[in-house]
Amino acid sequence: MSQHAVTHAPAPLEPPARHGEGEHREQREHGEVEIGALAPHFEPVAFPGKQVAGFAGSVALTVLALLAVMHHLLPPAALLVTVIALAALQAVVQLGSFMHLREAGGEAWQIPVLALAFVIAVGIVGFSFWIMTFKWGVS
Amino acid sequence: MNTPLEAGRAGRVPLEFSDHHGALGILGFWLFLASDVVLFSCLFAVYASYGMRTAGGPTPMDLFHYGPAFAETLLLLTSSFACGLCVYQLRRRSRNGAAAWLAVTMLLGLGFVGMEVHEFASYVALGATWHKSAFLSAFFTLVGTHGLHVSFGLLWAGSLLVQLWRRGLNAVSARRLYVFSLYWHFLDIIWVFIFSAVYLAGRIG
Amino acid sequence: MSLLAQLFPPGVLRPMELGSDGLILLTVAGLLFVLTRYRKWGWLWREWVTTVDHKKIGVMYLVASLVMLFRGGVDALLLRTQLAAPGSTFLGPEHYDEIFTTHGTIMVFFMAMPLMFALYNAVIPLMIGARDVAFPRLNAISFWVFAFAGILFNISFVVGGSPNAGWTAYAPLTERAFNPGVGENYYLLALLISGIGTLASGINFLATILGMRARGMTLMKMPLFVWSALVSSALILFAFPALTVALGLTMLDRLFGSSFFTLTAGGMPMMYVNLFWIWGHPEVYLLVLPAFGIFSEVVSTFSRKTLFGYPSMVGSLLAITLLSFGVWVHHFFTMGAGAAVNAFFGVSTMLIAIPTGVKIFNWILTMWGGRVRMTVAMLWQMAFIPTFVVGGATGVLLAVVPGDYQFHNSYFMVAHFHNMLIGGVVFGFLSGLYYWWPKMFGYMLDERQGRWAFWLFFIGFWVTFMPQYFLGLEGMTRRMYTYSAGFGWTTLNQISTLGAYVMGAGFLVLVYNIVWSMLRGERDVTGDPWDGRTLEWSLPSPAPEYNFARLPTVTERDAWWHAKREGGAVAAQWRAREIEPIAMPRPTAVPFFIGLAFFLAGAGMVFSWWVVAAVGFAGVVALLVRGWFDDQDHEELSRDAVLRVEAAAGRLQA
Repeated sequence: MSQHAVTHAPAPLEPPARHGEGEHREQREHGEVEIGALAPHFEPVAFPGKQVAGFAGSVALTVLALLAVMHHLLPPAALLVTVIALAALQAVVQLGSFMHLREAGGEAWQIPVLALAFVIAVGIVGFSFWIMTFKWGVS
Repeated sequence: MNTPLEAGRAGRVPLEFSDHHGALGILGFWLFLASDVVLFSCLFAVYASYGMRTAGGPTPMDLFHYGPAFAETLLLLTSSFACGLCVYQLRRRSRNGAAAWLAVTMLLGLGFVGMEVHEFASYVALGATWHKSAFLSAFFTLVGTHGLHVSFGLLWAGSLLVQLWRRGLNAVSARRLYVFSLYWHFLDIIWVFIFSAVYLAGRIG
Repeated sequence: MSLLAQLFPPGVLRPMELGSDGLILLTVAGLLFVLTRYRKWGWLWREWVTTVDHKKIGVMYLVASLVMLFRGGVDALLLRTQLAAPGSTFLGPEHYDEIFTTHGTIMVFFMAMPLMFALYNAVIPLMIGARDVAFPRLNAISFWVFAFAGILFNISFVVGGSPNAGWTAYAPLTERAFNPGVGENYYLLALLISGIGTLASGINFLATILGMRARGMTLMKMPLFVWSALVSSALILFAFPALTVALGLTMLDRLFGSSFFTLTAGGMPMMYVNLFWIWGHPEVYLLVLPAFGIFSEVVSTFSRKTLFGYPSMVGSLLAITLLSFGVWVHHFFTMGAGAAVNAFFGVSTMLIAIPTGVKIFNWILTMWGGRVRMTVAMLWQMAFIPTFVVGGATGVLLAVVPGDYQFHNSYFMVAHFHNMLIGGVVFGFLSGLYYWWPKMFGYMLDERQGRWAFWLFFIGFWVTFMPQYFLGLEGMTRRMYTYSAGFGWTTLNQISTLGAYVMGAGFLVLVYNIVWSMLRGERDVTGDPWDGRTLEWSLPSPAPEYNFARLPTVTERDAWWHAKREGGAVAAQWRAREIEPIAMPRPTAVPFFIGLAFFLAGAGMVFSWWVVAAVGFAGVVALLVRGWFDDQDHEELSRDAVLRVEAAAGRLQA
């Protein structure tokens, strides 16, 4: 196959012409994001208001759950559901306020992965309970 | 490998994300946390099925008391908050600030572990060992696994303090501190579910 | 119990075991002699034991899995020999139990999983245009942890005794009350330790594929094999913790007296079964999805046609991955969870057949209108389609809950899962092996010998397992060490045994092929012997240490195919001025020693030698800390060094 004449278009598998020299060439440019929904979002370095709000909210939710149980504010089954729901809510509060969930070098892949993990976790706990209750009192 | 901060990026991207390999490491740790979520969910599934299987021995109502459980919860929650402030200091590029709040995190975490060990010892003194019943096996394993995770975290935090002191703040130590904070916050989230599904649920009856 | 009695119970002193011990000693002695005589210790240490190069790690996984395929296969032949005649006394009942246990455990954990990781390591970074995986040292740790866990499992029949409760190790048979020896401890510790390596690899490949793809390679431009590695790694991430809990709790019961799966104190053995299969079902998908990915690559390459229906192939991979977490009760319909539970999981099990069907149609439609070349890799693909479809159909039969009450734990079920695992996973991995062998080693596996191996193994498979479907319908149950002549099962069993030996012959031809081709096989000088479509074929065979002298940029699927069409001979060449120094991870001995420390910890736990176990675990922690404080983990490959390698491979443009 004859060589191509010199063209300005890059040969196949070649990167486009670059401006900067002396930079270590990374796999992809920093900040280059393919899926918009997973674009990283860094928190500004100001007063840690989010942390304080998250802490206050978590304490409040904990106290609420504790008081509800101590004073039997609901019948047992409803109380249990409420306490677990409050726990789930607190988990979301802490994930959002403490854990820098949306920060990443590229796309924030931890978000869908973590979401899937929680779905599977709920499935495991829920289904296992359903599967095993039939054995109640049998073994 | 520490890549130097690229001109123009200073301040736009935090120190711990400035190195591509480091940023990958952070993603890798998030993936590990996702697997740990599933691990704990299996232990919760076991506890959910075994919570009432007390085989004539001590029941949750017999063992669990509001005071110690709430105290442990506050200790760990405050520790998690302190850890958040540690990362805040990290973002302000303050090595001493980060180290100070990391030390506070550790102290509170140590308090948590101490209380929990005392709690377990008191149950054992009552004769409530995990041999006795499936409920006790499930309890000690679920809460104990969490406790072991916390203890390992304390060792990790100690190593981080040493590294901060010897090597200061750079892309590598910043990333490691950030990763530790993810681990520590995650452990508090798990504890929220333990407090609710084990201690509070145990008092509902 | 005296130490000697603990180390050498009766099961370990049988003639067969002692004979095998002798063979192992001879082999090890031979290896040590060869290494010493030819002064290869330094080479072994530098090039293999301390490597963090994914390509070399892939080769080590491959060697391990082939050795384990041999042992697992010998186990299978022993079982089939015992069943060839009614009332046979070749293997006693306890011995039989141990052999079907080690057969299953080895094939799943120490043959299929490492073979999968061998192919991932060999090819994934090359396919996405990367220089290595995301965490090279963790990759090495994963391998050595697996290797030492495998060694731990394999020495069980030499000292202490083999496990005997099946590869599924159901409680309460695994409780110490019913299983007092150390055999089950070997099973538990080896798999727990190996699981750590597997989980780490899952994280590694997920991060690699998500974060290290070449510029321009969006998710929907990735090769299908990379997609299958992505979803399979996600399955590892989410499924293996359940196995850790199932085995961990059993270990707590056995070693520390807890009451999870006991018959007293409120324990529930069924909970073990539940946890095991929460892992177990995603596990089989985790094994078969990469096989599907391989088939997608092989079919399109050897039909010279773009894969049909790329988006639906991706969609079906995702659907299968999600659904695989919702079917696990079908492994224990008969355990009494109740009609509602069984009905739900019966329906979900049938649903999961649909996306697989989509894939089968897409593979066939890829071949339709293509110019098909029947290489050995393609033969395996052609064999897979009817074989897997038959297995899938029997799976739907098993999913019908009332039917399953008849089939469960019969030879019908045994035939079904071997049909899926061999017809799907093994055929797929063998196809991938022939396909990627030149890229890994620089020479082709002989096609003619490959065809012999193929036909022997393929025909042998059908002769072995088709009679077993009928044996199951005739009432023969699994895991029974013998049967009476009056049952009328003899002829089918004999045919099945004959088939097993034919499969064994196929395996021997494969080994012969490997050795023969290494010495006399055709060298791959172009790096692209199949006129391939994906990026790995743009590199020399075997690829240089750093893979790509210059990281590629892609703009479409089948990037290499299009690059060749547009650029011709220039496509795989670089200009000297484009070459820059390359930072490569340094070799390290820490992963090897972490594996060794885990071996020590595991062995200590197996025999309840707590001091040994503690030393082992402390060693792991100490090594991890040491590795953590080591910041000098990269070294730079100079521009000249890279230019030299590329020039020698004929890849520099004039």
